[in-house]
This record gives sequence, structure tokens and C-alpha cells, in this order.
Amino acid sequence: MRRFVAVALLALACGPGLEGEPAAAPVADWSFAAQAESVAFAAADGTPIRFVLAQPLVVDESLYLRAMTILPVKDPALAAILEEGRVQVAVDGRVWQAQAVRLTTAAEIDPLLPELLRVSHVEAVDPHWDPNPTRYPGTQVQQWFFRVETP
Amino acid sequence: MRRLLIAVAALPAVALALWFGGLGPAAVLPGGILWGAVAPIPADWSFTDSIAEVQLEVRRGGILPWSVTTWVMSDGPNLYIGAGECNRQWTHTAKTHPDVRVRIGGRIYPLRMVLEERVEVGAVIALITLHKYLGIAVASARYDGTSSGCVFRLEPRS
Repeated sequence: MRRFVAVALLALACGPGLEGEPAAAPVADWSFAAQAESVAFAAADGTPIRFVLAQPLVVDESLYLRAMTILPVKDPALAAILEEGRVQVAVDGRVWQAQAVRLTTAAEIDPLLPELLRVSHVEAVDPHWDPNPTRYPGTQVQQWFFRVETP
Repeated sequence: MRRLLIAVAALPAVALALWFGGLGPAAVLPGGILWGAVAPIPADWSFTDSIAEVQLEVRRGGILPWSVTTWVMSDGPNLYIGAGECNRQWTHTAKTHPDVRVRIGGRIYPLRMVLEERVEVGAVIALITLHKYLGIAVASARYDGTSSGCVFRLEPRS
């Protein structure tokens, strides 16, 4: 049944890809993305992320992508980003081709957590990435973190 | 033509049969009545720590079963469920008709839902939710007051 729901959601979610003016200049400071009206992500071929939540995070002038889903779905764009390590990012109508460097360790992800929690309306002290807690085995949603880097 | 009329006439009956016959919720889709063996209320809900999702059945208008899938958080003898968005059909229904049925691991627990508004409890729930579902361990946490979600405490029916 869940797979049926996932497929139905996939069909409903079809829409246009990323649109905007190509931007070639590398970005050293992504702070403007934190104030942007729209930030969207896609695979390098322009296939947008549609079936998982794609959340931008700006921390210390760097741009990060957090992808998350509570559903047992596979997102083709996310799968391509994971495989190719490349991503398109559109910020207020400008589109960059960028590298997507996957982050997996607590040392890499911990610095993002205060911002992630802030935008989630949570005030927390000393957040730490612990994706497989022994007290809560197998209950975590699927999450992926990437640092977005322009060449 | 006659067959078509029969088919159309049968649709509500089929829908009712599915709704009351155990077509439970799936992912984000709501369902009808929950079936399963009724279990006694445990003194400790810690066994739910390894269960990601439960099914909750409320009664719209006190009559029509309406079930959803949701998260569950335990704190020893206390059990809570959360709604990321409190302006939902089932949350409104639970406030007016608090007697609910919760299916956990295939077993049905008749319980009563109470909107939990204590700040100190909210802090505990935030801490549990972050660790259990998002894999984020924190020393302490609290919602900043702008969240549109809410938490319900599940109690034995008196």
C-alpha cells in the first residue's frame, strides 16, 4: 500500500524543472541564499528534487542541502546527485551548476544542526548527530546532507 | 445500462465496507476503523521506543472512525503523539471527542487524548522527537513558540 501511495505522490508531483538564468561565477559567500525567496535543487541534468523535502541551510557563508523524507520513496534527482556528486541550485531565478559533497559524519553534520533546529522552531543546547541511537533503533527518517560548492 | 446502475449503487456500499472493514491509514492517507486485538494499558510505554509509527483512530462527530498514521513518543509511563500541523481534521476531532484507539505493533489500546500544553513536557517531547526521528541528540531543547505543531498526551480512559 505504501508503495502505491508513493507512486501516486510521484505522479502528482510532476512539474517543470528548474528555471532561471544560468550563473557561471563561482560563489564564495552564499549568505544571500538565506534571505532568498526561493531556493530549489535539481540533479545536474535539471531533474528537480520532487519527492523528498529539499531544505537549504546556510552556515558560515556556505550552502548546504538537507534532503529528508518520511515516505518509502526514491527520488530520481536525489539518486543522481548521490551518484554523480553534482547538483543544480536555483536561487531567486539564477541557476548554478555545483558540486554536491555528501556529509555523513558527526564532525561534518554537527555544525549544521543549530541552523537546522533554528529553522525548525526548536531551541536546543549542544546538538549532536546521532543517526542510530541505541534507544531508538530503526525509527529515524531518511536524511542526506550535502555541501554545495561551485567550481 | 442496468449493470452500470447496479455498479454505481454498489459504490457507497463498497466504500463503507472498506472504511469499516479495516482499510487503515497508509502513509499520509487517512483510513477508517482500526482492527486488532485490544490490549491492556501497560504501566510503561518504553517498548514503543523502537516503533516509528502508530495508527490513531478518532471518531468524527463521535461516530465516524477516522484514522491516521503518526509519530509516538514515550517517556516511561507517559505516552505522547505529535502533530506537525495542529490545524488538522483529526486534531480538532480529538479535542472534542478525546476517546481514541491507538494501534501499536498490531494491538489496539483504547486511550484518551489530552492536549499537552505544559512547557516542561514540551521540552521533553522535543528532546525525544529530535533523537528518535531526526537522529539529533541534544542536552536540552524546547520549541520556540512559533511552531504550528502540537502534542497530545495519551491517558487511560477513566
